[in-house]
Amino acid sequence: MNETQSPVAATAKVDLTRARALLLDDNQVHLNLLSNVLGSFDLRRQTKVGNLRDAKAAAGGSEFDLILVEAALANGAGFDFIRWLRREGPDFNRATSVLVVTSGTRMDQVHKARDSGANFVLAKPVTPPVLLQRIIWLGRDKRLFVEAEGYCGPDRRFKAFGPPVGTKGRRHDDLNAKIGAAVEPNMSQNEIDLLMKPTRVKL
Amino acid sequence: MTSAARFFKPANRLADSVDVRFGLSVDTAADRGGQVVLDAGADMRKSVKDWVAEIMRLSEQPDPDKARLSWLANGILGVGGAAGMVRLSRCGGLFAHAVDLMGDRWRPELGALYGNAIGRLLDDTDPVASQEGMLASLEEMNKRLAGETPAEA
Repeated sequence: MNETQSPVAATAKVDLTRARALLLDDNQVHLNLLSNVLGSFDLRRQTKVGNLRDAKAAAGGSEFDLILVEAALANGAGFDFIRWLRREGPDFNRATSVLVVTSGTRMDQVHKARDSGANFVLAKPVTPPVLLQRIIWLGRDKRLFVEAEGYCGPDRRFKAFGPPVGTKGRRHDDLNAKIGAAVEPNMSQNEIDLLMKPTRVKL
Repeated sequence: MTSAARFFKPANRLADSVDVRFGLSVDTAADRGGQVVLDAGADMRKSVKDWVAEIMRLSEQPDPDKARLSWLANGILGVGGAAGMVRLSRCGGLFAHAVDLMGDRWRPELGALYGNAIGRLLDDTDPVASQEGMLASLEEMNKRLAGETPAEA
């Protein structure tokens, strides 16, 4: 999950007053910390929960614009919640942006978060500038959403290199590798040379 | 190869909240967030202190509750880091990793080592170079636990 967009300018503006967030963390101190930091960004419409059952109930009852999930919930409950949200969650929340907060040393958690359908992974310790940057990143995220047998969530491919060789693309904007027949007459050698040859311009 | 995958453009409801004309500038929002963290510093330090004491107690046991140790270490990593206790936070992260690496093969001497290191970093009386050296040696120990580098004879 690499960042592919330009860094956030200090003069960029956010208005999170109407946004709604669901926070799932079983550590009350960390939960309150995240909640207060989000509040300082004017994101005050929050629902805070500490376990999977409450998270499902909250997501089933209200529409959210952002969901923050602690990766280290007992028995992988955080990832179970994201998988449930993406596959069985209510339509109004199935594609909601999900930010997973994880310890920086656990690559397996990053992979699990990505494969369960999270939009982005944020390594602890979470600092206010980084959290804000990631929220802005999520707001700018234009990736397609994928529903497949083995995966449900945002397109995990950040860059479009086209479909794998020998396969037919599945994206609507994947280009066909076959080149069509020419529709205009071939260019003359002189015309081609003119395209490439530097010419002196009199100013 | 065929696939039943479906691609569609989701409605990104956060899009209306960013890059707006009128709102909170990123600098202002980040400063306000920083102030919130500073204001909560005393409470966070108290929580971290309680967690460290519990880690030290649990670490002495021959077969402690590893899930609880992981939870505590993860808390120190997250909350300690946010409260500006950077090296203590790093140590919490290393300890969480060590608990994972040990799995069911709990080694009380390593638990005690981490308990001692976390306690000293919380006291913050050692010189910075000494604290950094201690963290570096714990990192090396984790690498050996992971089998990434052979243990010294």
